[in-house]
Amino acid sequence: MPIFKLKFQRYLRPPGALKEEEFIKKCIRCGKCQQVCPYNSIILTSWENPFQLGLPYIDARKKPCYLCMKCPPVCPTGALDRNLKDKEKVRMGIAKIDKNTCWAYQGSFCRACYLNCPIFDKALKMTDELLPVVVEEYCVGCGVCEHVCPVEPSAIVVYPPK
Amino acid sequence: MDRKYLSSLNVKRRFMQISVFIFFFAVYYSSHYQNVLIGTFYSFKIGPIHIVDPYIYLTYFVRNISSPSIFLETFIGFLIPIVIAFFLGRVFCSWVCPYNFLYEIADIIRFRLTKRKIIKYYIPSSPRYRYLVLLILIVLGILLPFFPFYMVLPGLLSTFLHQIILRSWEFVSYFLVLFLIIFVVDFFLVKRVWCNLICPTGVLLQIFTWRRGLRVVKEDDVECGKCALCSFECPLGLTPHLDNHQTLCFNCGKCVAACERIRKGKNPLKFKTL
Repeated sequence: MPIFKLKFQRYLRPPGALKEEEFIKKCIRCGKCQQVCPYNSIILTSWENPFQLGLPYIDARKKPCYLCMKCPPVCPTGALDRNLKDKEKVRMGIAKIDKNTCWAYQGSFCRACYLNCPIFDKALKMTDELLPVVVEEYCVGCGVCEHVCPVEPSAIVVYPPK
Repeated sequence: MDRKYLSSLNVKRRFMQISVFIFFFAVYYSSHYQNVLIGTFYSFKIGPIHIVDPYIYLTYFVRNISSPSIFLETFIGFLIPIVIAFFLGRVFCSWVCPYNFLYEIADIIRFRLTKRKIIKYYIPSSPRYRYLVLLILIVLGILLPFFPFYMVLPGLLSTFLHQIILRSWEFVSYFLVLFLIIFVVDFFLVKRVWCNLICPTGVLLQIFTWRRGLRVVKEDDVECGKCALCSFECPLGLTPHLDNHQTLCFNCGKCVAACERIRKGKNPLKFKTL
């Protein structure tokens, strides 16, 4: 029951996270998810949003989530659903391709996102072997595609759920 | 308790305080290699056992009171420091808390540099002020699920240590700014205001302390010489020889050891339980 509805930028939360409102209420910022992450992908909020000091998030462009699923079981309050074990069931967000900057859509032969997607050939498909397309019902939002995209800024971006 | 035990009590306490620091560094360095010890002072896990900061848990619990999933092991983790405080008083503050350790080191440095010992620490004129501050912090922690809720210094300090190892310089710099503001006020302006008035964890642990648990008492059978050495030694600025220090005392034992040293075993100040 926060008395202010603060509308800030939406962050990509660790896998298994509850809806953003619930997550902010439940997370006690203990840092366990960050400690077990073998890739050090999880960052604790500081200057970027002082109102969310200590909350874990993932900057997909910097270091994406590799879906090892080590963090949900350690969360002591259930802000990350501890029963989530399958990487396909993760719903961190949905990737969206910007067709104006994606090299494949400009005529180049680029398959970086498609080849690195952990839900291979299901969440990201190449139509006609040339153009990548996100299949929203399978995309888990891990951000590996955003991490490997050669375009600067990334042509494929993961958006957290509303 | 015999003489040799009490005078070495401070040595044991320092050893424990340093070990806590080393322990947390070891936990953070090994966090990718083992799953048995994880966490910070907000919430720590030793195998199947959780230990949770009581203020954090209380605020979290009330915030989520309408939500179904409150895990049993986290609740037990809330009870563990409460039960320890019930029998042993605020020993967490004097034996474990990293902020108190840093403060005591800073005090030692100040003494070495200025050759003067501070004896005028801030002591609130009534315990009610501490409960009021706690109430405000709980209410703020529920209504605004950000900033105040996170401001528990042992937890923040331990998280800060971890971020140094991870080289997350943004968090480190943010924390240093926050910490310096608190520390400068606490160390130079209103001395010991954090431990004696504000710290929500400290106040909660004291609320759950049993009146007949471990505490420092002045026995009437031996006459007190009113030398006030106990007050001189007290890191919080309390006055044990006037016997009115109970709600703030964190059982470090320095006053008892000093009294023993001066009175050579026939000291009015003693530890007592039950």
